[in-house]
This record gives sequence, structure tokens and C-alpha cells, in this order.
Amino acid sequence: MTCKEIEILLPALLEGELSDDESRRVRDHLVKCPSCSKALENLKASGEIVRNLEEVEPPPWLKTRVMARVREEAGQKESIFRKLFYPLHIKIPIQALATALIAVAAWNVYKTGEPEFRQIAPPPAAVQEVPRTQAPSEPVKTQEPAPVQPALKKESGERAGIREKKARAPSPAQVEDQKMRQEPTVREEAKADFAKPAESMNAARPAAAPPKDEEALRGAGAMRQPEMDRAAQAPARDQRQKALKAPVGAMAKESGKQEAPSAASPMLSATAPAQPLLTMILHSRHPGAAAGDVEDLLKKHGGQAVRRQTLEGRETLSATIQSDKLEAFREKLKGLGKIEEKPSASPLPAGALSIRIDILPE
Amino acid sequence: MMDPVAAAINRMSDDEDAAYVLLCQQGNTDAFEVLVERHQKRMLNLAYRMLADYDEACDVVQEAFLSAYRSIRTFRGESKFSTWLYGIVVNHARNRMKQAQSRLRHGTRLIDDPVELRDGSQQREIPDCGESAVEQLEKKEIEARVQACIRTLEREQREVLVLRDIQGFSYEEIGDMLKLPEGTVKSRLFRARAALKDCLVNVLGDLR
Repeated sequence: MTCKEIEILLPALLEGELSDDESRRVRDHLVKCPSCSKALENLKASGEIVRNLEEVEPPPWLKTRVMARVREEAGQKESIFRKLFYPLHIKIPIQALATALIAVAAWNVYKTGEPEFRQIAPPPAAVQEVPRTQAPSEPVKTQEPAPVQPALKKESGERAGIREKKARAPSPAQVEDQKMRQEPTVREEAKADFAKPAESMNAARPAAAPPKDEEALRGAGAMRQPEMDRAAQAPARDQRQKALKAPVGAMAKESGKQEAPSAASPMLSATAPAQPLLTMILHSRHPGAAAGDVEDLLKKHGGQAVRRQTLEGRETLSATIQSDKLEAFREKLKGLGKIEEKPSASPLPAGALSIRIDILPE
Repeated sequence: MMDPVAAAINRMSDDEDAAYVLLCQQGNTDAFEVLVERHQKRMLNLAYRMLADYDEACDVVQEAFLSAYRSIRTFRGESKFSTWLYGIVVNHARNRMKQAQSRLRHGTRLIDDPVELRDGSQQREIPDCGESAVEQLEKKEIEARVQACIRTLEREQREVLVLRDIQGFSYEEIGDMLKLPEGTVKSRLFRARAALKDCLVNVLGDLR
């Protein structure tokens, strides 16, 4: 082993990191080599010098500065939360954002549950009115809106059942026939006045017009065109379809649950697509084309609030027509095909009559 | 072999700083002050021997304490807190040395430039132990030369020499701080000692 090699091993020798064999060889060399021995001594002394270096003292401000910065940082972390609720800087934007979020959320909730809300919405203020068809002997029941809302709520519950039934409901034509058969019986059972079935139908109506409009419309005995347009919107149609498809008995039963008939009923019937006083069924080879003709006929005979609906291949028109024009209209209608009539009241009252024409394929 | 979790728990229970560390982790700044008080001197000496500049060392210690405070929640007791803390100082000092070397390459003055003793600094003044002024001067001169020799070492050798021979950390602790195996630490240390001895013999003459 050369002195250079020995010198490299000296630190390990001092640390006791050499193997026995290496250690013995280095020590043997050191005995014979004064230069390497001196190197070993210097190495020991060097280590001693380094270990005995004076320590420096930290300045008194060191800890102060460190802690000042630490506390500053800790304060910043805290204040992030505090600032969220601090009145001036951030709170206002947060409030604005929160308000906007709540508004959007509320709008979404309203849109999602719109049909349900409309169904359970309280009826407009009651207006004293006796339906023209009401028997004179019957007491005029007015301004008793209180039971209406619970009844409507009940109806809403019933409606859920109706929706379930919808899946296995018979075809619309069958429903219609069934309805025609059941209607008088149901009315009798319910001991309801004429407006009640109308009210049941009305529950399916999506939008109740404001009372002022109701009054005006009632006066006119027909729905205004904007009202018609609204009513003709898709959700409204869906609701009406449900109502039409549902067994009438169920709805009549609902009406029967009402202890006191609502004064709002006649009024509602005035604006709603009311239970027609006269239902006419026209059999035509081309219901679509016939519907257009019937619509023209209605308009020619002073028909107001003419409304046309297509439900699963069946055309339905509803309108209000003056009783004195009815005969002429009926004659013209016969020219379009075979007709059947189902009057809801007999004799038909004078004045404006709400009629419905169902056009079925032959 | 001991379960690592159990080992960590043992270390925590052996660690005299553990209680304060826990408080710090819960956001208690007063507890951190205790840790600063406990470790600032050793940290400063470590940084000072590595950087050979008192002011730089003070800066590095401040930064290291702040880093430690920011990341104290991540300390899980895998090593002693002091080992973790001194590892942070070594890293900061190392970064400072790299910056200094970079400045040197661009012709700026470097902290490793020839020794300038801080005679006016009270904090660093060696306590008067009855030594004569000549002896004190001589001692300072020797110390300056030793420091100059330490600075001549390669950075990696300097780190292990300072940690082992000046600060007295165990090989295991140094390995934890530098993330090195013990064997590497030892081989670096032996080369550092040999190089330092050669340098000291050159600047001070025969050491015996």
C-alpha cells in the first residue's frame, strides 16, 4: 500500500470503519512511515479544531422577526374566513352572489314544480254569481272560498292516482263514452251543482287568470284570445289530456267530497275550458280536414274562443256560440258528416253556449 | 422489524418537541415560539458554518423557520422534529449557496469570497474567558482560516462535515436530513475530513 492510499484510509481508521484486515495493514504502515503518522496526527488535530470552533449567538431580533412573520401569516389565514363576513370588502359581492344563486335556485324549483304549484294554487277571490244553468230553487252559494283550497289539494293527491291510472287507462274514445255514461249518475251522487264537474275540469287547467281578468271574461262569457293562447300551451294540453283520460268518476268523487260547493266554481268555469253544455261528435273520414271546416263554420256562426286540439288522432274543437246560431250551425255540420249530440243540460239555456265538437274517424 | 407506525409513535414520545409540535399543528403560535427559542442557535450555527456569513445565516434561519411553520402540519413524526427542522435549514442554506455560486459566475461578490471577520458584531463576539487581546486576535484569525478552509470544501462535503463534526449529528440523522444512505454520508465525510486537514495544514502549518 502506498502512502497516498493509506492517507485516504486514515479518516475511516479513526472512525473505526475499516475491516480488521485493512486496519492491521494501515497500522503496520503507520509504524514504519513517519509521514503517514504525521498525517494521522494532523487529521486528529484538524477534527479537534473544527469541533472546538466557537459557536455564534443568534441576534436578539431573530426570534422576534421570525415570530412576527409567523403571527402575520397566522393572522392572514384567520382573516380569510373573517373577510368573508366582513362588512366592507368582500361581503357585498358575496351577498350579491348568494342572492343571485338563491334566485336561480328558486326559479329552477318553480319551473320544475310549476304544474303542481298551479294545481294547488288558491283560487282567485270569489265572485258572487249564479250559474245560468243553476236551478232557481238551489241556494246561491257564494264567497265560500275556504274549502276550495283543501279540496284542490285533495284533488292534487287524487290526481297523482289519476296519473298512475293513466298508464293503464283505456283509449280516449272509450274514456269519453264511459264519461258520458257516468256523468249524470256521478252528478247525482255528488249532489253538486252544475259547476262542479266544471271545477273538476278546471283543476287540470294550468293557469288561473287574475281575478280582474276573470271578471271581464265572465262578463264576455268566453275566454280572451291571450288567455286561449296561454291555455293552449303544451303543459296545459298535457294536463287537459290527463283530465280527459282520467275516469270522470274519480273527479266527480272529489267534487263530492266538498261539503260546500265553492262560489269560485262558476267563475272558474267561465274562464276555464268549461264543461261544454253541448258535446257534438262528428264522424268524418278525414278528421283533420273536417276540423278545419268545422272551425270555419264556427267562426261563420259567430263562434267565439274557438279552440282546436288534436289528441291522439281525434280532433276536438271547443267554442262559445250564441244559442240562436246553434241550429244553423248544426245543419251545416250535418253536411260534413254524421253527428251525435250529447247535451249536458236540457233544455239548453239561451245566450252563449259552450260547445265541444269531437271529430272522430268513421 | 418494528411497525413503521409504532416506530413513529416511539420517536414522537422520545421527541422533547412533540408536545409543542402538536400545539403548533393546532395553530398555536406561542408553541412555535418555544421551538424557535430552542433551536434558533443551533440552526444559526449550522447555517453560519455552511455559508460563512452571519447575516446570510440569519436570513436563512428566518426563512427556514417560516417554511417549517407553513408545513408543520405535514410533519408526521417519521423523524425527530429537530432533524426535520435542521433538514429545512440545510436545504435553505444549500439554495443560498447555489445562488451565490450563480452570482460568482456572473462576476458578483460571493459569500465564499475571502474571509471578512465581523469584528463589530456583539452577538458574534467570542465571550471573554480571560484571554488576552493577542490571544483573542489569534483565535479569531485561526477561526477565520478554518472557516475559509471549510468554505473550500465541495458543497456536499461541507454539509456532512458541518453536520457531523461541528453540529454532532448522528449518521442516521444526517442521512435523514440529506436523504442519503449512511454509507454515502460516511464516505463524503471522510473525504471532507481529509480535504479539510490538507487545507488547514496549508494555512496554519503543522497542526501538532
